[in-house]
Amino acid sequence: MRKALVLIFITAIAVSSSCSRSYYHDAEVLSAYQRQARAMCLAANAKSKLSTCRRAKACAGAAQAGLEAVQLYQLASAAMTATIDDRVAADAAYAGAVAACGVAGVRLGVSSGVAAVDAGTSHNAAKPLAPITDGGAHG
Amino acid sequence: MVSLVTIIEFFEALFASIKRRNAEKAAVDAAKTSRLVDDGKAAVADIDAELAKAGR
Repeated sequence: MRKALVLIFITAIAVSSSCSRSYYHDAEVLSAYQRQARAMCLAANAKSKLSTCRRAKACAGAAQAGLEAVQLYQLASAAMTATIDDRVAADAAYAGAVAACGVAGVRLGVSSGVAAVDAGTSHNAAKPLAPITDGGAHG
Repeated sequence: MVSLVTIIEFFEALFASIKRRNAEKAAVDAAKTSRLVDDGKAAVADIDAELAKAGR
């Protein structure tokens, strides 16, 4: 009886440690950031278009890099060749994209279809930075 | 009495099954993520176009 309980316990530990989490949710969050960034850029008025779109580009570009890192990890997982390095790269790219979007002022709301993720809460970077200059192209 | 060999075989089969299941799931997720990557490329291209129109 005691041996059976030990076996069940070990099995439970083994199963729980072998099950990997899905990275598709991360990809959905990054995609939502991109949609939000695109909408932000398209909706900006002429006066703030350049500044807003540059911020949107910073977010969408980082999110794209994150999506591609997540996809690489998923493909490696599907081929059973994924290493811890692939996973760390995907995690790092995701974290970088979320941080970049937070700094750029792109935030996700409930309406975006993904549970609300506030990129700024962990590092107080949600407040958009005031543009110092746009290079003098637009007064 | 369960022998050590039986236990090892049991765990080998269990891990192989979990690995296979995870790989199948990852393949499905990768296909879905591929669509998101394409959407992302389009979003970045739209932003680039707006930037070009805005003068940079």
